Amino acid sequence: MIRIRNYRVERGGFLADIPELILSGKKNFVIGKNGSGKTTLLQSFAGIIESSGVFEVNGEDLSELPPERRNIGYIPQDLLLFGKMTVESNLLASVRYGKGDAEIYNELVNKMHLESLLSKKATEISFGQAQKVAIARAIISKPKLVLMDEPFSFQDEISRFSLISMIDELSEKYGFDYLYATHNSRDLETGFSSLVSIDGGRVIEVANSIPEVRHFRTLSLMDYRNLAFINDRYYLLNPQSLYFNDIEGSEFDVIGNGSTNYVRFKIGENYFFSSINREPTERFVKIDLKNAQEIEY
Amino acid sequence: MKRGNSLFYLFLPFFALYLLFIITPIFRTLTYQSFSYIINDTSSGIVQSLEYTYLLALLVSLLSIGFSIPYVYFVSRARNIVIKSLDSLLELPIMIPHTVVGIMMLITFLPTMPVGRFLARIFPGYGFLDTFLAVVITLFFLSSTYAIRAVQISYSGEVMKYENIGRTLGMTPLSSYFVIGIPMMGKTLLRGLVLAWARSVSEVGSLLIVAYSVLPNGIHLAGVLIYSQFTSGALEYAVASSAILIITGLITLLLVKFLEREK
Repeated sequence: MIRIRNYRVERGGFLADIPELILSGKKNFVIGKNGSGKTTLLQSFAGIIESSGVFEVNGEDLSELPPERRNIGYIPQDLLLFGKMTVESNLLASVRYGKGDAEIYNELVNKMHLESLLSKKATEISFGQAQKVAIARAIISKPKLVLMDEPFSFQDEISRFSLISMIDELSEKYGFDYLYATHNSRDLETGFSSLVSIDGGRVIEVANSIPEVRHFRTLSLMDYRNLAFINDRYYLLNPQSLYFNDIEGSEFDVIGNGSTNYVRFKIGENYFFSSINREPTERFVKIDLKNAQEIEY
Repeated sequence: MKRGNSLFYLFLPFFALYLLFIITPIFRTLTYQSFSYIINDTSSGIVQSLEYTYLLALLVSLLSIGFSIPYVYFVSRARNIVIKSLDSLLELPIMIPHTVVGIMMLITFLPTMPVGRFLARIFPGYGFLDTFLAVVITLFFLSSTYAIRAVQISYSGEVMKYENIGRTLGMTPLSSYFVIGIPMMGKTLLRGLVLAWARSVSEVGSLLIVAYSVLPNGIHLAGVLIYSQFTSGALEYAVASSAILIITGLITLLLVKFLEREK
């Protein structure tokens, strides 16, 4: 559980300010556009940059502790594996010089199939392999919390979802919570306990599921499925807000992977995506705004 | 990849012109006299002079690197605006005319001056003018900036981030510095060492003032020797000595580049 109170971080003219935030689940997303303050906040939680206020993990205030005493793993976007070292030395860094666990090292090397990489220099492995090594390196240090600053942003959706699912599994097994910063709303489809939306260094909203989200600006969700901008207002669409017929409306395409299908249609210059619960046989679609949920933007 | 990149071809003449500008005077110096004339000049004392110059420059560059390591760590991690402002003073020695630096050293470190008097009280027999100490202190004042800035760019831009990751893995500041930071800075330290060394070798102005006759048998440090050959009207000797300095300096720099690549 993470608890933040009167928290301020200042860096290079940028100010992040969080009066109060409580995250009680294991899997937490921090979402916001580039430059919204995700990295600054995560680095301050890790103790890399200075902050003021209360930052508690599982009831312990870590705000005055240096990074090495926080038990917080941090995986930055560029991973920062130690290039002069082998993969093995990278993984064992916390065991040799910190409070890392050699048993977890052995387990993760087997589980994540890292055996063949151990003798290689960290600069000699692919970026995909480096991502796994960075995850393993952080977990071997036995963290209570792992902070991930878009470490998979260069991966395609399938690989990203797969890595997030792997972290879910490891989080259960090794008992750590995690905060995953992303600007990609698709990542939310892997599920989450809490979603913290930030913009300009401020927490705009904390939601526990997508339907709870009201502020879509921070999510970069303009292309998010089910979001519609009509008559200067934003609406969240659902199967009931679509009216299919053969007489009037917009033509549409059905897209999706079988289990989750969407219709894509155009009104004016804007394209909309909305989930459907049946394969429509009609020619046109219209939006019934009475059954759509208006949202703030 | 380069095919069709018009900007690449547009900028090529700038590269060529600049290289020509640098190489022409060097080539002119090396070919001003016959090779045998240059060989004969080795008896003018330039070889001994270079030995002393290179060794003293090496000592100064090692000192500069030695100082740069803790200095850069401290400044890079300091958040205090006063410390950051004081750090900008580091460029001052580059800006001050070198004869002025010589004078500054004299009025600071001569045993008759306050600081010098203080040092003379601690170290009996302390002297400054025309001593190796004067050479080292003066060259350190002028060259250390180059070593420090070279190290600082690498450390605060890159290395520090890795050290911070080390600390999130539970490493103390000391272990993350020595296990992660220092090994990452090998090439940078070597570059800083070369820059400070090269700057020290090329110094003349301040040494004319503080260490004109520092070496035995009337030999001077390389820059001073060549300057005195020139002012006494022996241009041929001055050019021949310059050629020897350029050739030996070039060999040294190529050797370091080779070592850097090996690393």
